[in-house]
Amino acid sequence: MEEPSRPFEPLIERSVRTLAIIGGVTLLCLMLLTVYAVIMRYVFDAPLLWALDYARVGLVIVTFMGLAYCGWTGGHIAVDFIGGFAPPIVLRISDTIIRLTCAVLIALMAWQGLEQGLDALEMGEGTNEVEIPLFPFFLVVAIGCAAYAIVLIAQALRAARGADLNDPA
Amino acid sequence: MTPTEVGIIGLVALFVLLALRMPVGIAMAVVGTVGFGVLNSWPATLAQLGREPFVFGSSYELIVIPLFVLMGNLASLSGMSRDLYNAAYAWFGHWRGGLALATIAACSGFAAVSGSSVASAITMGRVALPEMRRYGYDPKLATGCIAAGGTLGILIPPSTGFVIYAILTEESIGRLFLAGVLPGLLLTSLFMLSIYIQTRINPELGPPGPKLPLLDRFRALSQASAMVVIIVITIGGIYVGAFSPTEAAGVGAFLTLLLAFWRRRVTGEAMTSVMLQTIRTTSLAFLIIVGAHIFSPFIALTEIPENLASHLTDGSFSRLTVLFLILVTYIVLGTFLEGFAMLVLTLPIVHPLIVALGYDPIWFGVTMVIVLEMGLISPPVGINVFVVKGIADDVPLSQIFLGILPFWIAMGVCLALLVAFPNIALFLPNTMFGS
Repeated sequence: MEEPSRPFEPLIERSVRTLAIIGGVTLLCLMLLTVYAVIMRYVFDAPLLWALDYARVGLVIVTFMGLAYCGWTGGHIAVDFIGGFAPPIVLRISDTIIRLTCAVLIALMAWQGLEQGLDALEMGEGTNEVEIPLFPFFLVVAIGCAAYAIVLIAQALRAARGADLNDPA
Repeated sequence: MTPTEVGIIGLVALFVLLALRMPVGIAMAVVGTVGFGVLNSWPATLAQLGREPFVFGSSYELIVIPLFVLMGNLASLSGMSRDLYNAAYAWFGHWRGGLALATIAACSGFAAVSGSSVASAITMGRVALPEMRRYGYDPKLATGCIAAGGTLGILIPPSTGFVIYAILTEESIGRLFLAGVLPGLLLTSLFMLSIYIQTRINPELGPPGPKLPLLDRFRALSQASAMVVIIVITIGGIYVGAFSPTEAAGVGAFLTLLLAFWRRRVTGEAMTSVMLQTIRTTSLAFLIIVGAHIFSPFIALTEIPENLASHLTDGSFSRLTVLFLILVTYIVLGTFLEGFAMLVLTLPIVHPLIVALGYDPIWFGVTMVIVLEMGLISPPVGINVFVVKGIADDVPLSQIFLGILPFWIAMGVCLALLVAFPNIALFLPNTMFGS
């Protein structure tokens, strides 16, 4: 029997890929920023203190925008002790429960990231040198984690129906 | 219930979650969160869940990871691996086992721009394997030398293994990078010696290729010179103190990108692929780092590391015995546990123990990475073996493992030399930064 189509999976695929590309472009900017800072320091004897601040907050985007993509493509390291011998039904149940547990933890991270971001907004927290507001970057953590939690739920649903965790087809 | 009992339950829970295929970073975070909540307080554990990801996601020192990963991926894109192999082939190819020697030399060179063993094995495997097959090399030697040569990626700086070790143990990334240079060259030489001995015993394993005229050899060498310049600027820059590791990574990635542009290898599709691969590897490393940092405070509260350290340092065992036990345990664990997983899972307990025993943590970082490399090519879950299998799908796994065995022994010899002469690792960082 043909599998019913799941329109949300291509949507997840496109979304996590877009987030990852945003992270990738930010990384290219960080690379250029690092080179610019080195040139300014050595050639013009003008160290860029603000570059450090921008590099720090930029890294948040690089790291968290790719979290869901890494999960979606099966990148996060796991140890497969039971895959070789456990009956399919056991794997189906355990994978479903494990993915849902992961989703709960990552959703907690998203929630707490948002909470701390709101605190940072209220307190007006910023970076050390040029006081870039921290709130948007806590928001990036929350968005990245929320996207990964959605991926984990989608994978739990896949596991529940006995499909390959990392193969949306 | 005592904190140590809670800790033991936590460790058991961790291994159950891992056995049930939970990603390592999340398993550590789950156990760390629940354990910290039980031993400390739930509001504190929740706050930690919000804070730790941001703290590590915005740590300046950690920018080195994505930048070096980017540099490695760009190096593959620019065709550097082919240049390196051609240069090594031009000089070694006409020797017995020369193509295998060239593969190891090229792997060693590629390791100096790539921090990942898997990336090194894939990149060099695609270049070197068809050549070795063309000249009738024994599949055991051909696949074994690629799988083993690839592992140099995490020993010769830049190395993601060293960065993760440094972050988890608060050691200097620059010191660890420099500490990896001489052991990396030693291991390269031992791999080559292993090929020499194998082909001496059985010349059929690696017949010699044609000898190139001297002019062609220098031409091949000059083709690889761009890469040598980049390596000298990045690693040399760290050594002379011109760059921090992060700056070296940024400059190295930029120069590699320029080279890729110069060679007209940069297309929209290729850059998208490079970015996605880089972001994927970065996220993988960060999730593990965040998980380990949520797990570590819990383990510290359980007092397990202190109890273990005081038990093992009370005089009933010699330092060397404890070290030997640790290394053997790692080698055994490495046969079924993924390398990075092993690193992050054990360091919260083993690092305090090593420090209590009076061993240099930088030196231990290098020995750990070599043990981790052994795990990368050990059955049943040696990742590099499966990478090579993916390139040479007609060679049975058993043949690949047989081919790896001499290289695995070479790693054991390297490890023994490093234990006997710690200065092999410590000489460069001590001359640069002082002891």
